[in-house]
Amino acid sequence: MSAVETKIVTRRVGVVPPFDLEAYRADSGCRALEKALSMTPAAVTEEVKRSGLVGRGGAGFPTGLKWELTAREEAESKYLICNADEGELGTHKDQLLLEGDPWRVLEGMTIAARAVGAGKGIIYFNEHFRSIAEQWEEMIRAAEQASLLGDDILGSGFGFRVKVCLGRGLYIAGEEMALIASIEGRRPTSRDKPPFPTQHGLFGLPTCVNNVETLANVPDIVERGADWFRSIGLEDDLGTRVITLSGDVKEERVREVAVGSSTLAEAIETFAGGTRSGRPVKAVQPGGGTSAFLAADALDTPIAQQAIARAGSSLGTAGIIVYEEGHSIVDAAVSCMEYYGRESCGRCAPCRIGTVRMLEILKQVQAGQARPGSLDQLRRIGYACAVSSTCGMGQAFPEPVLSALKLFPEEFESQLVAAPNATR
Amino acid sequence: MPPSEANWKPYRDLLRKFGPLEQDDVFRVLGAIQDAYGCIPREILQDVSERLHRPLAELYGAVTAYPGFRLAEPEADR
Repeated sequence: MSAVETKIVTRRVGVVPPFDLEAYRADSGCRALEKALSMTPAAVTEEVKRSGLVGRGGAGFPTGLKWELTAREEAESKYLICNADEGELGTHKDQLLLEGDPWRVLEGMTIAARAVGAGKGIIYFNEHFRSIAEQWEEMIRAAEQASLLGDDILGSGFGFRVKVCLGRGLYIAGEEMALIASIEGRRPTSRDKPPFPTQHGLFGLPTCVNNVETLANVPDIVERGADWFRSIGLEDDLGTRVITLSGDVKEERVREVAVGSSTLAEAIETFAGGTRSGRPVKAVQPGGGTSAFLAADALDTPIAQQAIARAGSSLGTAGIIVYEEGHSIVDAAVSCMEYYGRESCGRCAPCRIGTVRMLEILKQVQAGQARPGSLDQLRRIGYACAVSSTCGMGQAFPEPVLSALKLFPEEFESQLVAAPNATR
Repeated sequence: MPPSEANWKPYRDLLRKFGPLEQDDVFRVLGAIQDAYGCIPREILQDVSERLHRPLAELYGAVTAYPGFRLAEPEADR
């Protein structure tokens, strides 16, 4: 069967000119905001809660609950942050939305701000999105002139302003706590929770941090209602996911699919034209560069969080990285470790030391210089990092290596230096 | 060596563009300085620290953490 697209958040991408308010309005844009402003903030939150929308940034926290937790806090002001620091390997979905339908994202931000009672908003862009960030600056000025941002939005009395922050090249800054530290002008490091950002976030104020794709889902949920949203996807995993197909594929593609509507194999075949060489798929990482590998026998898994988790990985950011037959899994594991090792913030020991040690061992394996005990050591360090790191990055980066060892042990073992007693 | 009057001009210009500085402008201001100068000169970092009532050490920590920020232009490093 071939995979089918279900376009909700990407509906206007490539169809309606982006950064064009008139075109956006002509295509029913801003209606959700008008509706949200006529509702109580609690009713807006309730609708999103009932929709079952969960965060699309990787962790999958229920969006409505996060809003409720932020709204519940009493403070003189609150922040709504849009996390546009998309840095996960093999993930380009947020970029598509930020430049393809930016007004939708801004509308989602404004509705979220209204729901949680935030008067201040910040959108934090990945450093590679500089030109998009500049267009956003202009769009925000246009929004202020059109009374879609400012002290009295569309005459409702609700005030919300948005500032643009451009990241400066650290992967870890996309982690919620590190993102907040970054905006505060501090070194971007994570910290232990609680307190959660919803209680004690940016400059100590209650702060709601939502991913771009999450916020892009909000306008349709508000306008068409939670029941409509609940009709898309699976019972326990609702709506659509914007997937990125990359790696050893014919064509890298970003496509929106209803959750559970197609399998990994169907998506790879239909959207990306199959593997680059035409050889069979050997393995995939279904949720970006920090997700565990799945072997070819799992390609029939539907693109849905629960199913992918049962298969042994995580849907994360839905960045599906494909590895074809002939691609060394040791090399793949080394590339992942090189990227994440470079990006460890260094605050907690497991991640700071673990990334370096694991990469050392992997490089020895790659060079055919590792001893048999090395693989056990690799597993032990990986496991220790996964259970004892402070933030999601430290907990996740060993996954590719650990899963590769489990699925393809012979590829690692065949590159080891023979044990002394084995040569006798 | 204190920077000349001419060297302060881009900084003054960007401050004017920002208007009254708020706490949550700090990262944006650092970015704007980096973009204007190709680095974040120490004297200017000190001025940001005073304006926003933030310890210089903390801002120094931030500036030196990101690959996209520099304390001196690449040529001057050598």
